[in-house]
Amino acid sequence: MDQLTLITFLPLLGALLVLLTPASQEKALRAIALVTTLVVAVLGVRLYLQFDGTSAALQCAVDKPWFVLPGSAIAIRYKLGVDGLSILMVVLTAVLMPTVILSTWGHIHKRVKEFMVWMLVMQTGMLGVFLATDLVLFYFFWEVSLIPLYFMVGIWGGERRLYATIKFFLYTLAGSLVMLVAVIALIYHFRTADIEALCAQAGSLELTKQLWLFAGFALAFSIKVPLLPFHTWLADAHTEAPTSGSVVLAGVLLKMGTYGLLRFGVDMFPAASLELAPLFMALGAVGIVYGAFLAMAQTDVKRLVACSSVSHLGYVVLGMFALTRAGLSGSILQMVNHGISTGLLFLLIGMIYERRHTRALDQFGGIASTMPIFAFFLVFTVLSSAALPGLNGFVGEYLILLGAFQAKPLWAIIGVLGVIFGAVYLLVATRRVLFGPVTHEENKHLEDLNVREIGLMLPMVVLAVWIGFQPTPFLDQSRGSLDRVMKKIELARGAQSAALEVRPLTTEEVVR
Amino acid sequence: MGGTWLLWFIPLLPLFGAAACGLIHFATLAARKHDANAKGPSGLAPVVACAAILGSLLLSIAAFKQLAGLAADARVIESAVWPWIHVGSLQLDISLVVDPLSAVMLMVVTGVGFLIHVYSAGYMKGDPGYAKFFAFLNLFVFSMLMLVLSSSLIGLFVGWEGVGLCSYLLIGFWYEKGWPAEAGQKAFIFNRVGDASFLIGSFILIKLFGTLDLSDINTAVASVSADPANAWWLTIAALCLFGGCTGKSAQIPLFTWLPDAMAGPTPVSALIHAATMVTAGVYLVVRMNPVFAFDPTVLTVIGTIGALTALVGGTSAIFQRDIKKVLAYSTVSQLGYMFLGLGSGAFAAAIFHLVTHAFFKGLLFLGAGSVIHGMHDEQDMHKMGGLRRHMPKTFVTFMAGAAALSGLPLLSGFFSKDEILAHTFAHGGFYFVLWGIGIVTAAVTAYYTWRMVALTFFGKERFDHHHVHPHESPALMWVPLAVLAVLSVLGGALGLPPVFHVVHVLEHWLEPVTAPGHALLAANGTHELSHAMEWALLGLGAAIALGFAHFGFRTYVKGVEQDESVQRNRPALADFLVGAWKIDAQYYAKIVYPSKLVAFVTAVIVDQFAIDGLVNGAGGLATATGNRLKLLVDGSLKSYALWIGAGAVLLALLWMFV
Repeated sequence: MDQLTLITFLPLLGALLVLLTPASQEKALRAIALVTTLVVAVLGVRLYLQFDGTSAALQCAVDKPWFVLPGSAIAIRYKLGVDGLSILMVVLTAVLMPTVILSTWGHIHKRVKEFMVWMLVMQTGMLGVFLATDLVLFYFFWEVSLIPLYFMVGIWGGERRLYATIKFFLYTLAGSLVMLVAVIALIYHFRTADIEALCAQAGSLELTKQLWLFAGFALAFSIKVPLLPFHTWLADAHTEAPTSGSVVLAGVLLKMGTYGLLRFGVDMFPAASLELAPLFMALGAVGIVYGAFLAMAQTDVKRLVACSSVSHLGYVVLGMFALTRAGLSGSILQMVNHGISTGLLFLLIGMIYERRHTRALDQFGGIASTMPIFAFFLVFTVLSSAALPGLNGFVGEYLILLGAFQAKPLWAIIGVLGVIFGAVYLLVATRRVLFGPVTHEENKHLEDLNVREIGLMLPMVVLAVWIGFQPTPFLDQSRGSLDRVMKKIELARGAQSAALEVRPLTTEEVVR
Repeated sequence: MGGTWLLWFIPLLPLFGAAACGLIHFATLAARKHDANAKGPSGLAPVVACAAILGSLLLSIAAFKQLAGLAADARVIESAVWPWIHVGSLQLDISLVVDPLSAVMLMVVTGVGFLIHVYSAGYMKGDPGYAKFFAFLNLFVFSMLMLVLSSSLIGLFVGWEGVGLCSYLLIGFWYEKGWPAEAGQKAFIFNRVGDASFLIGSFILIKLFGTLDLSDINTAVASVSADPANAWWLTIAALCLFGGCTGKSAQIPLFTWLPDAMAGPTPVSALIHAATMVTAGVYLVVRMNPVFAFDPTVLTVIGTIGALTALVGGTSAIFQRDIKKVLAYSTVSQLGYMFLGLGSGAFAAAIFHLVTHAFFKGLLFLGAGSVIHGMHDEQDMHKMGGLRRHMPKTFVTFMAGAAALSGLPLLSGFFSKDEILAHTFAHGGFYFVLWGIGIVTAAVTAYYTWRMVALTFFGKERFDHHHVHPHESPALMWVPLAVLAVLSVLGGALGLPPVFHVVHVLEHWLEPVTAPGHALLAANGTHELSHAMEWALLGLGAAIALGFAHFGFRTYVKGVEQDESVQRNRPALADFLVGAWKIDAQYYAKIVYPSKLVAFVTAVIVDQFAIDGLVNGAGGLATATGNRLKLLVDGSLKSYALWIGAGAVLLALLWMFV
């Protein structure tokens, strides 16, 4: 079997194994899930090492016939492949999962079997989204990855889980359906569902059609990111989701949105992207500040981190639609960074929640005295999230803001404000949790982190430092693909400015 | 390339030290699990930390010697390059470089840093976070060394934010008390405001030069500025970078975090908030002097901000009762002098004052720490008095520091401050006003310094003899004081004024670095003072220092009556000065509280009410429609999906063919 199929469907196989194991064998269930994800992680790392970042081509490609659309001769194929736009996302999805599974030891105690099944199914869905190179296959995986979270929040969630679930479901459904329209239109127009071919041809569409199709895709992805003003489902979903659900949601699921914007927005419709770039840059920059202000006002730690995601993903969108080399590179790296730092934040909040059964900021204070190891990890993570140079977040943010500055200084300057406000909400929350006197009796005898909890965070901590010190190998993975995308953008930019130059001439002629 | 890896060990040794001390800290915690009073291996931490800094110091001396052996215009030692961020054609690398300027900073950072490490071994003894303290302190020295050694602005920024982090961690070191943690947070956020400005400056430089390599930028300034649009951008970039300096070096408008930073342990105040970190802004301006010198307006802005900060800081120190607050405002004020010097184009003089200030202010802080230590954590000078009899060594060294700070003739501070004021005076025009502010501040400085000495060491003993038994500090603490005292007294030899007819050692040494900036300035005319004028200025400076030192001492050697009478008769004035011209209060009233309100309004009204309300409204509408449609379909999810799918296909087909 080829490598990509193996990576994609191994979690599904694990899910089957879990299904076949009796529900009473909790240890075995957890072990199966953990081993499966560990193997996938190893495969993911192997893929990363094999991957040639200088090439723009799809690598490890698989292409098999699947079915023919009834009533037409359009062949839908089973096509997988990885390129510079997706490689980091694939590896992130693979590497993050063992941590997620290991974290469930602490907080998933009921219906363990079902939870593991959903988790593994979700991984297949997510990997499929990043690896599919056929549009129908992509859409299939896209939908597959949505369903598990629906159940995770609905069954294992907090008090208002039903409200959160329905909101999340309706939001994403609305986006998915609009995207479906665009998918169908695109397939019937070009009579192919091959993403590579579509990417090569869609640029030739007239601008109006490009804009409409772009809008169809972009709506679904913007909801997923979530981009202002489609973000209100996120805080509810995060707050109600179990820790592991939040980690996957922040770590990977949201990146499906930004990845989609990159692949089916910038890469597929460069002219439309260029046309709408000011709008998206504005939404990204305003989102950075808006999300930060939202976070400042929160009293629930988890909700605070959820709001910070709105802010951080604003950076990703800002950098992406700067449509400069630095912006795009930073944007891709920032997707990984956000997965690491926000994933860690959710894990840490989960750990403290398991001990105190509350997430209200005013219930804490002085935790650093009772849980020094926890304090170390929290401060580390906050610094990574606040983009301290030397840790991962800085590289992404710097490139994004630089790229945005090269394109539109105004939006970069607004984005830079996020550097200040980000520090404000993160440090204030840190202080209220960790520092000051211990005011609550319950906090006086908290058990510090155990070996499992430290161990499950270590891979992400190492990655945060590694990316911070040596970002270039990570950035280089998308070099070939981004060179290709930049060429397209330059062409579109040339066409746009040519059109702009022509316009006054034609009006003059009309006057004559 | 071809650089040496050896140079990297100067910053890396403290980094390794920090890691080792961190491990020692966690090992200590583990030991304490079983026995709450166990010391664990924490006693190793100061040894490791001091050894790391000593190693850096020795390597720095070696580098310094090697540098001095080279021809004046070839004095550059480069390290091997650490490739960092490569994207497209942009290459942001980190490498270290020792040139005359960074060599001076190296000596200050590792030299004073080492003394303060030794001092801390005594001062922090018995603290539960003993090892953690040295981990942070070593991490700070690493960051500071990255800051001064980096050959590119991005590497400098790594150190720049790194020292900010350590400052945050160390100010909030005693976080259990609450307010130190708040002070640390405030410091970090104020610095972040400056850093945001710094970032924008770096973007502009990349836009103009395509690189952040400092020497490349410095050489390219002249050619780039020929184009008026570029010149305009360059001015903005310089101002943005200076914005970063106002945060890090506590200048108006971002200075109010520094007095609060005194919540940290006193050695931290000495090392970070007096001798090294807060001078980073001064270093940056000198390092990039062509960028700042190329537009005279930028220098005028810097000089004006510096002079005003000197005045506001100095006057705010007058009525402080907390000995560390006096020193904190004094530091703000002295940093203002350094920027006044930079604004006058006197780059070498600013560095000169930076060096002497590191000696005498580091000394004064450590002396204050010794007093606080001996007084069982008392910081209120109104509850001291007469301590010279109880702690003679601290007293003598403190006097040396005070004499230098107040600019008494022939001490280090006298020469460095006088040089700055002479340059400002020589500039003429608007700079006369700045010079006037500088002179007034000099008087104020002498006054509050000797008020502090009198209140602390002279007069009646105002402390409770039953509870407080002042004692001299151990040798681990007073020996560093003695070394710094000698340096404070003799440091002036580094930069004797031209009227003495000897070489200004520091100016001469820094010449290769400051020459490009001076060349740009020379285009606007040079400013020379006659010897007679210089003598006159020297004399004026000496007279003012002696006069106001005497005045301050005489007033307060009697006791605290003067403070009480001002508090009684002029409460508004006392309040205004103690509150540092009420600037911080204004920030809270005009920025902090409104921001909280905006955040609340955003979260509750805009987000939950408006945006989310719209969404839920749409959801409600859908439910209502769904209820109606239920009559048409069977209501199962499957048929809904079918209908929706069919609708979507229809829409798509319509779009294709219409």
